[in-house]
Amino acid sequence: MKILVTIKPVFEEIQMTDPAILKNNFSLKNPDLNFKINRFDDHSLEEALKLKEKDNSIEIHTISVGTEPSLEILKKTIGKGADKGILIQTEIKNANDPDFVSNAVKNIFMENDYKMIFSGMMSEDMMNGTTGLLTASKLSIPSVSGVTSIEKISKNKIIVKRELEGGASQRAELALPCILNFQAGINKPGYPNVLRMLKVDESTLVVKNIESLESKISFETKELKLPSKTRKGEILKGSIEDKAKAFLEILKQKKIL
Amino acid sequence: MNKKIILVCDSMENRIEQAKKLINFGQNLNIYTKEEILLVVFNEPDIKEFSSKIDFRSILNIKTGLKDHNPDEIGFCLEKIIEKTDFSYLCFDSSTKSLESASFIAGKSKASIITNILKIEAKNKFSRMIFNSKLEALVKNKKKKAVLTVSGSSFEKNPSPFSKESFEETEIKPKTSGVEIVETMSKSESSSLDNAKIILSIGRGLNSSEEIEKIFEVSKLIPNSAVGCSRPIVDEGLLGYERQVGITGRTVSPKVYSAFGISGSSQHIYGMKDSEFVISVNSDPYSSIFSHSDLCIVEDASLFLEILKQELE
Repeated sequence: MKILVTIKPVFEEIQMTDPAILKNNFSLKNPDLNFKINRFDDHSLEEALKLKEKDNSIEIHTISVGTEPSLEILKKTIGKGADKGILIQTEIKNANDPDFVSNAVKNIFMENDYKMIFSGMMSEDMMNGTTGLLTASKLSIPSVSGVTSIEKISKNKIIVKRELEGGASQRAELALPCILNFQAGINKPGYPNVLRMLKVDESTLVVKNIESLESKISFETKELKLPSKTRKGEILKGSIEDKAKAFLEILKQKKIL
Repeated sequence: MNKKIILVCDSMENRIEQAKKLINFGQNLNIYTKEEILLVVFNEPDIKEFSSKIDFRSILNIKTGLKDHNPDEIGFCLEKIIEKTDFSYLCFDSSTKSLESASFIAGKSKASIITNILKIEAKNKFSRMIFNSKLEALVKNKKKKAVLTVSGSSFEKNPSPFSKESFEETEIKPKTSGVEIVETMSKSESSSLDNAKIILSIGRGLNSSEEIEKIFEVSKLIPNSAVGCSRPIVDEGLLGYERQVGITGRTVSPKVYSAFGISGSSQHIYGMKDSEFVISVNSDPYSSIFSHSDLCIVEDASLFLEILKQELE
């Protein structure tokens, strides 16, 4: 059984914390930026690796759409245990477009005999949350989002548990082939094995171009800004002790203390 | 064929609230497009009574004969509807199931899909959150048709009572693309968060058992308080599900909500936005929780809890 796992590079957490850095560096070409595997995708890859641990005949391919950072994180996925990485080479505005990415994944899916596509339910950067679902719609195969565990796999079916809003959850049965969009935090992703990463060559990391794909994007980002405030946002000044006193003063005013 | 703004009310539980939110959004879109708005509902027993409850009179009721629908079944029905009714925008709520239906129909109709819209900025231009809700992006739709999902709380005001009267009903037998729901489990019934006057919530900035102990010690010194948390704390197994505040956890509205080491993702904000007063403590001055707080304390949250404990004692 072959599983295709979609992977996206995102900025390292520390760089996300300063909007000024983001505003000035909203390009993946900047050599000063470091990238990691999108958290949701990392958990999704780990689920595939857990299946492979139990059944070594399972073959895991990872796919990423983009430029250099995509190539780097694909190497990491091979280091973690994936059998092959596929880079769909394209510029960054395409890599952030769910319509474009789903077309690319659809094409690779159709060239192979994958039983499942594993995907993170969203990316930490663009937070579209739709790429896997859109790919499933284009391929006319079933898909669910918010998957937290795989309960059972048989020849033609899989049973998964998924989360909904407000603490509700569901068990769903999907016919294979299907696409599962995983929630984050559901397992503990392992570290890549450096020796495996050093052995990566043209047979394990394949670079493809996108000439055959429609290159028109569905929407473009025109401007980035700090989020609008929904509350006053008064910043307390003074020493940490003064601030703690002010905190307790508020509780007194609100008749809690 | 005139294009329409189609609003999809797919909820079976909170139908009126969802319809009002979508109508408000549709009327905001209509300011720019001047197109007619059509609200689609499923299996509404009395369409005129429903219309009077939501103060809106252009409704298509789809009768499927099913009690509840999988998102792909909703998508299947909409595919039939848009064969006859052309649309510029097809609008959904932002729940997991609505997003699944929205993605389904976007894939089938070759429309673009823009999710979690906060604001309509101009014709075809929308604001949405990106980068863990640290930035707001202005995006421009590039296709003739777009499927949109509307963010949690942005369009909850009551819509203005204007619409052309048109009540229609149609029967569709939906097909699924291969998903069967085996079982649905609802949330645990009660939580200490429900009746607390103040919630002390802990986030990824404080993810160790020592920090958890610290916040419980502070909570013991404050009457009517309870300890809550954001998603990563539950993922780490440090606290139970019943304490999680956010979209996939509980929605709370205490007198005071205090966030310690919580970055403030939109998922978390959704769960605490109705609190009376919000105080946040975070060492990162750019933390997005500060945009949703009345009082912001830029300090190491762990150290702050220690000082707070000393002051309380």
